[in-house]
Amino acid sequence: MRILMVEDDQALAEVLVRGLQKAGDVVDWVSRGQQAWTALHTSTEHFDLLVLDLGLPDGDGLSLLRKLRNEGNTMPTLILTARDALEDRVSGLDAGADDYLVKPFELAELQARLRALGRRQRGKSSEEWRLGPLRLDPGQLRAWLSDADLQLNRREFMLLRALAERSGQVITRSRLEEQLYGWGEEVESNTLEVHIHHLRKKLGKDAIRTVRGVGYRLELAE
Amino acid sequence: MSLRRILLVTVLSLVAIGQITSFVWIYSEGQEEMEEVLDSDLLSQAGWTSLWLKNLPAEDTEKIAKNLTERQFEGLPADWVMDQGYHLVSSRLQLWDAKLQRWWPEDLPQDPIEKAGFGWHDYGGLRWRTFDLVLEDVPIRARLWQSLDVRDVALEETLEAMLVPNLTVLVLLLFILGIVIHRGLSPLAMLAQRMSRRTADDLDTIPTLSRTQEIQQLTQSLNDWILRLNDTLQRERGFASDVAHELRSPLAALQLQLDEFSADQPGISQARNSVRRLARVVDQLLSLARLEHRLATLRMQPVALDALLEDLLGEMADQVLAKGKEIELIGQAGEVQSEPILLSVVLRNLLENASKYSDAGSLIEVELRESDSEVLCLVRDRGAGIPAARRSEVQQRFVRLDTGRDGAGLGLAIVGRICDALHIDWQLQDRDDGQSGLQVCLRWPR
Repeated sequence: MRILMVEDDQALAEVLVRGLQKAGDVVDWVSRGQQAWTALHTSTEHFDLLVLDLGLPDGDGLSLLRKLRNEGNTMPTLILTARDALEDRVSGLDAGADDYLVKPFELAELQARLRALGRRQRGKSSEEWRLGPLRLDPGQLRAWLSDADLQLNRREFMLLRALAERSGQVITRSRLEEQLYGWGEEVESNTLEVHIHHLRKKLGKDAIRTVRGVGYRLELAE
Repeated sequence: MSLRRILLVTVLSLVAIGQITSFVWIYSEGQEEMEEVLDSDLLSQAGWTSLWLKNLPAEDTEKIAKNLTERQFEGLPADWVMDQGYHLVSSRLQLWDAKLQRWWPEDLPQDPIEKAGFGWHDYGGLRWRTFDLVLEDVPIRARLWQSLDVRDVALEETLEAMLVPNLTVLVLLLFILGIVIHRGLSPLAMLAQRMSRRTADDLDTIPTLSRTQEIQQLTQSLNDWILRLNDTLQRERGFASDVAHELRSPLAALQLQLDEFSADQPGISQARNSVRRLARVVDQLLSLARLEHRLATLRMQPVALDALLEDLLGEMADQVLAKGKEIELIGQAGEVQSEPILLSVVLRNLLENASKYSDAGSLIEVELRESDSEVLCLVRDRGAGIPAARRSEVQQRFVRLDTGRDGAGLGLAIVGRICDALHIDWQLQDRDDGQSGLQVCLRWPR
């Protein structure tokens, strides 16, 4: 993935660039909001992701994000910031951020979230995408594991897609149920378990981890 | 005491005092005036009488003296009653023959007439104004009596005539004054009401409530103060987030740089632990700093424990699972009166503790229980627990029982502070399911 990173702390930026590049991503780093704006408007490169620090020397990262969203730019954006108050998170997400990570953090977590963002971006389109041995085709609602057709029904596919988009993260039962059913649709108490049970049969017993009372996590090797 | 009452009472008593003073004044002035008028009346009567006495022929004098008892006088002005409209002025004439010591008429008090001039006498329960006539060469002396009652009646009626309209005006004044004062002071009451309804974080300026200069001045200075306060608060809050920013970016860099070294290099794992601990201290100090602000603006509301815990555990599960520990939520409970953000802070702290103080592979359980009398939320770990004797100690700031772990020892102090504010009974207990480990019990009585 090609990532544009806006971060004014040089030490942090350098180590991040190194870490992300090691994992195969291409990172362009700028330290000012204005430089990011210029890069996005003049560069011939296409950026897949924006990693944005909030407290920048030439203004607030949020205003840059708002400006981008106002002109119709839907580029997936992760805010990387020291501000962890709930108000800050809310205003960050309101401004159009797709995810929010508070410093300090583990490199692995940042990478997992960036991958999830990329997947979600692809999930929105109907293009096929891959997660390790898993291949999903949102257009046809079909999925393959190691090229074997999983033969999922619509709800099973939706469930798998929701889990795969945030692979490696626990997704709560309520959120999964929201994905499966529209507003007002009656959810039977054990429907989710039934679908998960079927998915496990097709993906393998250990592919989906249960966090009792909380939710599920897809644990396929990426 | 209300300003309105003070104003009303003060103005009314001033008006009343003014009225009374003017009554007393009018009464005494009127009395003097009336006296002068009536005295001159008495004098003119005396003039007539003296003229009559002087012109009496000598034999007449003797005759009068002889007949004083017989009441036969010719040309002598008799007692006269003057009808002055609504009241009567009554006057009487008394004659005295000093030589013969004879009085006419005999029913009046018989004080010897020695000297000419005005005097006062009591008679028939009334006070009379008198004028004595002593003429040279005339053996008969006269005393003219004028009832003072008349004077008083006249004055009283004058005052009465003034009192009724004055009282009417006074009542009217009271009414109008009440309205004016009420109107004038109502912006103050409105201001007070608005200020009392405000929450501690509502620092909007106050709109102008009245065109009155005083109210405008008050509003203006309150607004100035609010703006200054707002500035200070902003700066203070900004300070907390500045510190966070300044500390967290280098911490993040440090942590990532350490991760680049392989773990078997000497000292690396200690360095990583120190950085993690430092990061947690920064977190806790910041949340403590924010806590006071949140507590000051606390608004209790129904919170669904099920949903709150599901979200919170969903958010935290990744970290817990990453450390090789299991987490689960069992049981159900409905809503409690609380505040979701603060309650999350409590639960997050308890779960972080549970995760920190239990071994890899062990299970952290959160259990909800609901009965008619209470709602319980139990957070259990399978760690070493805390000895009963030291449980109160760990609730204080900066106390850590196990100094080898990261953290500043603020977690439980924060939990305690919030639980007090949210009216949650909380206790550190031994697990009630026979397992070893610590159980933190949050309890909401029903």
